Amino acid sequence: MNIFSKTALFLIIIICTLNACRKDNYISQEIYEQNDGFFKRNNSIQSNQKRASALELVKGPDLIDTIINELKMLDLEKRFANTVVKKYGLPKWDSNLRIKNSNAYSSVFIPIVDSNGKVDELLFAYQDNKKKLVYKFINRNTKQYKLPEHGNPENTMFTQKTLNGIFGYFDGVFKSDIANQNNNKKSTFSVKANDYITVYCWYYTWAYSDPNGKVTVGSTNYEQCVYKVIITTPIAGDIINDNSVPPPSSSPSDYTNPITDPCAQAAKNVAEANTLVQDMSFINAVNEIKTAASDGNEHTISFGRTSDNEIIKSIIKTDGNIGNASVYTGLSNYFADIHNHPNNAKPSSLDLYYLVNSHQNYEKLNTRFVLMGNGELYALTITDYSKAANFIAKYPLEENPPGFFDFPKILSDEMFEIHDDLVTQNYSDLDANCFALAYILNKNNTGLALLKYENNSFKRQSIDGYLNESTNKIIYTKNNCN
Amino acid sequence: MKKIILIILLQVISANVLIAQKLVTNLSDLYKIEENKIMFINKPLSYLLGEIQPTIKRVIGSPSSQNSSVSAFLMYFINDEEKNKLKAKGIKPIHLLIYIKEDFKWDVKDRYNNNKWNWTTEDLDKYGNLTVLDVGIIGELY
Repeated sequence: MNIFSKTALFLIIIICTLNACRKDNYISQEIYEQNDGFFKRNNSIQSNQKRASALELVKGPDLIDTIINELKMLDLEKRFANTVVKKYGLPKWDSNLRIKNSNAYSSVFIPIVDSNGKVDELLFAYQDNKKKLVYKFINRNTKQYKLPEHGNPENTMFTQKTLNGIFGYFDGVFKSDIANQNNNKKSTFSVKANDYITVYCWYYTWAYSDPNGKVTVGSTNYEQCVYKVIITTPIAGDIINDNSVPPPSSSPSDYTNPITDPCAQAAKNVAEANTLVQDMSFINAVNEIKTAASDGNEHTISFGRTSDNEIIKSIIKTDGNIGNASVYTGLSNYFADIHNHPNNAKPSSLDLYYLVNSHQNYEKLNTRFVLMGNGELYALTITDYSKAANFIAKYPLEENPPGFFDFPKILSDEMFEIHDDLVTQNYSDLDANCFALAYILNKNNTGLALLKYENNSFKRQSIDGYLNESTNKIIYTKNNCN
Repeated sequence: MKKIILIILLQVISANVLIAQKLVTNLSDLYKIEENKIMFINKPLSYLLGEIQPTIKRVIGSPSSQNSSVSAFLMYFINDEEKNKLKAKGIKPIHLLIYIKEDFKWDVKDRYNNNKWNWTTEDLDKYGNLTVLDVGIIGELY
């Protein structure tokens, strides 16, 4: 083959390659077709009348057309509409529930209704300011951990119960409309992977829900609050109108929430602790330690199991150390221990690092109980050892200040600050310290949990912090697992 | 002779200016505190604060009897509202974390109820003699 032929062949290959690429691009642009049904308004006077009579609504400018137009544009990029239609049905735009937020703008709930008139998904549009809307799909079965479970009598929170109440409201709206819901067409379009995600959460006054689940619709006379929190973990099934979000690793049609339930994470440990606390060996150990504690020192008793799985306890150890009492580790199947903190100091960093480090030698060891001078009982427990090991590798014990071993400065600093905030919110020092520790453990996904024995069972301790934008204060709310 | 006197005078003035120059004149200088912390360890708190020119607008006192740890002060150069706003945006504003040797009395609720967020001359009188054990710079410039 001469040089001319070689050159010609080379050019042909290049041209073919370019054409192939062009065709691929063409195909990829063609493959997604927007679902017109998703964006179609169907003015339902009947639904609007029902809504108006059922709830006290805040009047405001109609945002629905704006929302539809924005979502149409967003869908071209994120490709979520077909998935939503396929899995949950069609939005009933004109059956929206609209409420006023603290910015004096609107927040709108749009029900997604399936062919049976069931509403398992809501589209939430939050007007952040005059020009910006933030969107989120909310699934009925996805627990919103960032929302407090219950509200407060002052109507200053939007809670999980409130959200349940909204789903319940839409259930009532569409129950009698089932006959009119037969025109739902299931989509067979393919779904692109990155059609999800939110980074916002929102809280504002709307309703008060008591622990029994009774929801009272709030009056607009109450001061409205908005809290926005950035969620760092992506939630499949949500969308946001910006491009800063990375694509998900989950399968395209997977709408399950990848955030594992923090209560479920600790459920096994809680159950084990609840079993142990009723065992006579534990009851005797507590009594022994309470008696010994009169000397003002720390005392330790460890727990193991016989080959018959019977729980056994060790002798009591007293070495006079405060904050670093030694532990008897010679028991077979050593799995837990208990010691006292005479001065009501929270479970310490040394307790935590001992627990995680010792797990390497005693693989069954996963819980340290701490008995306070005031009789309160706490437990530090490993829910995921690999995460716990990663945590102490990232934040190793430091001599900080000289002669005192503690968490690294960055963590201690945060705990001091949370303690300060919580005391101003009328928490006791012990509660404030314990919740500050719990906050650090939960926030850093440490694979560790702080439990407290309350009302005859252990509960995982947890708080969430939000900025109250009307007062510019950080507000903490308890979010303990039941 | 006049020239000699003038030179000496200039030297004295410049020396005084240098002495009056504080280690930290703006927030980006704060890192100098950490770099030179040996100067401040086991010295009174007032000595450390004397080297800092920016106003301390928010202080958190955390005595060991309350925090289950070592006594400490957190000192910010923005007010509480600004601090909370930045925090809500995920920004930890730059501040001093000063570990203190002694326990001390600090009434958070009283300060909260009376809007006493900043470091005052009264605070300096009350806490200035406490001993610095360690000092760190936490957070980022904003």
